[in-house]
Amino acid sequence: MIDPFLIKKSSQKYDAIVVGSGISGGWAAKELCEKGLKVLLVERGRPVRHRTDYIGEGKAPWEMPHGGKVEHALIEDQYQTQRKCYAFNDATKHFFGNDRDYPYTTEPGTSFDWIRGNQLGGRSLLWHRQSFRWSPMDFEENLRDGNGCDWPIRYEDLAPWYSYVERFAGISGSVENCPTLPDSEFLPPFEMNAVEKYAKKVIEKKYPHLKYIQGRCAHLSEPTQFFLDQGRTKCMARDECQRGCSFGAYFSTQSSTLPAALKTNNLSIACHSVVHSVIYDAKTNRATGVNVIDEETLETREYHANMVFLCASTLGTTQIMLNSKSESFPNGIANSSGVLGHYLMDHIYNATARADIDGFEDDYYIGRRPTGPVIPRFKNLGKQTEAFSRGYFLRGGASRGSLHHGMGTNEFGADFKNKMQKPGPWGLFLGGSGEMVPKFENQVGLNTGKTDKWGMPLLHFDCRFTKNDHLMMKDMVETSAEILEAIGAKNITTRISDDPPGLAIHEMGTARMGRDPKDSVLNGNNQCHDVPNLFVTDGACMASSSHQNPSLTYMALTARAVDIAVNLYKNGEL
Amino acid sequence: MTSQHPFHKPASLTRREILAGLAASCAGLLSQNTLAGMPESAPALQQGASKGEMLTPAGMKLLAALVDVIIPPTKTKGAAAVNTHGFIDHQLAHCQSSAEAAQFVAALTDAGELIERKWHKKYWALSPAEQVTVMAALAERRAPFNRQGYPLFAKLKTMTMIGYYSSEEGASKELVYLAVPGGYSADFSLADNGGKAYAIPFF
Ligand SMILES: Cc1cc2nc3c(=O)[nH]c(=O)nc-3n(C[C@H](O)[C@H](O)[C@H](O)COP(=O)(O)OP(=O)(O)OC[C@H]3O[C@@H](n4cnc5c(N)ncnc54)[C@H](O)[C@@H]3O)c2cc1C
Repeated sequence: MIDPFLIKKSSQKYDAIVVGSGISGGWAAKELCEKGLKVLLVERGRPVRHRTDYIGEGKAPWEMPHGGKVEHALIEDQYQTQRKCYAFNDATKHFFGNDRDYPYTTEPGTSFDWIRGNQLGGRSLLWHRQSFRWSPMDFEENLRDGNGCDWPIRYEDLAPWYSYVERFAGISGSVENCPTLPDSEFLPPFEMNAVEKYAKKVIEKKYPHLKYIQGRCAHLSEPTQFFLDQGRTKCMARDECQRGCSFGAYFSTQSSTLPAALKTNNLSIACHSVVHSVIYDAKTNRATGVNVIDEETLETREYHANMVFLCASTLGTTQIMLNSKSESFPNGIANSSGVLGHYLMDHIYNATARADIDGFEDDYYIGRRPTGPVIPRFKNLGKQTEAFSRGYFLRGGASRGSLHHGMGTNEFGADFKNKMQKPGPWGLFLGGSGEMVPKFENQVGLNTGKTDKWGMPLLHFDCRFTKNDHLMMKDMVETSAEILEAIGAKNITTRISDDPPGLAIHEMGTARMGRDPKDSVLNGNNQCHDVPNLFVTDGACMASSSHQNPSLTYMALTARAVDIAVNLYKNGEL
Repeated sequence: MTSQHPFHKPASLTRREILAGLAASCAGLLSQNTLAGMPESAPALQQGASKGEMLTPAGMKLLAALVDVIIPPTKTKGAAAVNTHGFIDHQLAHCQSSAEAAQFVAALTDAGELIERKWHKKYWALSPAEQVTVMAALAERRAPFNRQGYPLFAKLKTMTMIGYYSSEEGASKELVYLAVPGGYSADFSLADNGGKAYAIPFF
C-alpha cells in the first residue's frame, strides 16, 4: 500500500516536510495531510510494510534457526547496545537500530544506552504501548521547585488533545479519577488475574492513598466499528507485539497514522533518506527544506517545503539541529539560547522488587496480557516530603511461573519432567518508574572528531544519574518491598541495577519548550523561538520528564502543534 | 491449538471464533502453522551418531545420552528424541562466544573421560540405573567430578531445558503453547488448562 507513494528525488516544494516516521512523525504526517497540506515524510531507514514485512511474526521457537536467540557474531558486530533491550531477540532484531553503522560516543566515566528503531515506523513498532496522561502537577513542578524552566503550557492546554489522539489510537484502561493520573478516553481495560485482584484489595485497604489499577495501553481490547473500519482488530494477547502485529491491534505508525495519512492522497514518503541538516535562509529567517544523504548510495539531495517538522526522535532531532550550522546559527539551528542538547533526561527504571505468593493454586489465566497493573504516583504530592524531589510510580503485576521453579536445582529425570509440566508458584513484581530532574550538565553534543558512514558527526553523550536519582531508587525498593510484604508475599528480593541512563528508552528534553527564548529552544506551540516555521514535536521538546511513559504526550503535543501551525500557515503567518 | 487447551468458558472466545476472526482479519498473513495449529515436524531422531557443528560424533552421542537422562521420555518424547543435543551443539556454535563454547566442550569431554575411567564404559552404554547415579554425582559435583571447576551440570541442564521446552514436542505437547490465545481472560483455572503450564519464550 505504501509503495506507490515512495519517492526518491523531487523538485516539488511541499507545504510541509516531516522528518522521522515514528510515533511523533506519524502523527504529524496524518494531521498535516488531513488538514489538506501536501506533505513529504522523510525517513532515514527502509520501508516497513504493515503485515508483509513483519518477518518474525507468528514464528514458534522451533521454527526459528536459533530458538529465538540472536547469533553471537551478529550481536558482536551490529547490536552491542541494542542487545541490552529486553525486547531484543531474533524475531525483533531487524526493528532495532544498527550500532555498527550508527555509533555514538560517551564521555569517559559515563555511559548511555541509546536504543533505537531506524526504519519506517521508527520505534512505534517496538514500544511497549504503555500510555498514560501526564497530570497537572507534571507541568507545574519545574516552576515549583526551580529545576528546569517553567513549562509554557499547562495540563489544560493539552487535555483536549489527549482526548483527540486517544480516540484515534485506542487506549485501554479503567476510569479511576486519580489526581496524579488523569483518565483517558478508554476502551475496556484488560482484566486483572486472581492474585492481582487480591493485591488490589489488600493494597487499597492498607494504604488508602494508593490505587492499584490496570496499566493503560494502546491496544484494542474491544475495538469499536471505528477501529475495525481502519483495518485494525482485537488484541489476541500474544504479547509478541515487537515482532509487528498483523491484527493492527496495537497503535503503530503502520497500523494507524500512516494509513490515515495515505488515505488523503497528500502524502509522499522518502525512505533511505538520512537528513543531514535543515536548510536555512537567513534573508527570510525560515527553514526552506532539508539536506539529505541517501542511506544506501550516499548521494546527496535536497527536499524543499514551506515548513519543517522535526520528529526524528529526541536524539535524532537534536543531532540534525546541532549539525544545521550557518552564520546565523554557528552552534546549531534555532540555538541562540545555547540549551540545545542540554537537559537530557530518561526515566529511572533501575529499582525492582520480586516475591512469591502462596496459594491461588487453582487459578490461572489464558492469554499473554500485553500490559500489567500500576500504582500511580503517591509521594511528594503538592510539596516535597521525601529525601528526594519529584516522584515515581510503580509498575508490576502477578504471573504464574513456568519452568522457573526447576531451573538452577539439581533435579532431573521423569519426576522432574512431570513437575515441570505443572506451573510453579505465583510471583509478584514491582518496579519503579521515576522522574529524572532536568540538569544542564546532562547533555549530548556533536563529536568533533568522528563521523558515521554518512558523514554525520557522531552524537557524544555526557549523562549520569544524580544524587536525587539514587535516593529515589533506594526509596523505590524499600517501598516496593513494604507493599509486597503487606500483601503477604514471601521471598522478597530487591535490586538496584547499575544500568546507565537510556534503558528506560524515554530520552527527552534536549530542545526544550519554555517561555523565555534565552533559556529554551521552543515556545509553547513547539515552534522554534528563533525560526518560526521550524517545529519540534518529539521528546526533545519536553521541559521535564514526569515519571510517566511519554509517547502519548508526544502524540498530543504533535496534534496540537500541527493545528496551531496550519492555522498560522493558512493566515500567511509562517 | 489442540485439545490440550480447551476453551471451556463461554466468556472467553471459542477456538472456532478465534480461527474465524483470524481468517477474516489476516488469512494468509500469519504462517500457515499458526493458523492450523502446530505442525508435526519433529526433527529426525538422531541419537547423536553423526558429527555436530561443534562436537565430534562421540561428543554428540554423550550429549544425547545426558540430555535424555535429564528429560527422559514419558508420555511425551524425551530430550534426545527431539534432538536437544543438536540444539545445544547448534547454540554452542552460533549463540555463544567461542570461549564460552570451548569451555563447555572441554568440560563435557573431560566428564566423558572421568565417567569412562571410573565406570569402565561410555555413558550411553551404562545401565539406566547407573546413568542416573552418574548424573546425580555430576549434579552434586561429587567424585569423580569434584575437581571439575566448570559448573557442567548447571549449564547442561539449563541448555537442555531451553532446547527441550522450545521444541515443538516440549512446548506444545508436554506444555501448552498458544500461538494465538485470542484474548486475555483470568476466568480460567488450572484445570481448564489440563493442569499444565504454558510454554515460555526463553529469549
Ligand atoms: C522496547 C521499547 C519499549 C518502549 N515502551 C514504551 C512505552 O511503553 N510507553 C511509551 O510511552 N514509550 C515507550 N517507548 C518509547 C517510544 O518508543 C518512543 O517514545 C517513541 O517511539 C518516540 O517517538 P518518536 O517519533 O519521537 O521517535 P521514534 O519512534 O524513534 O522515530 C524516529 C524516527 O526518525 C528517524 N530518524 C532519526 N534520525 C533521522 C534522520 N537524521 N533523518 C531521517 N530520519 C531520521 C528514525 O529512523 C525513526 O524512524 C519504548 C521504546 C522501546 C524501544
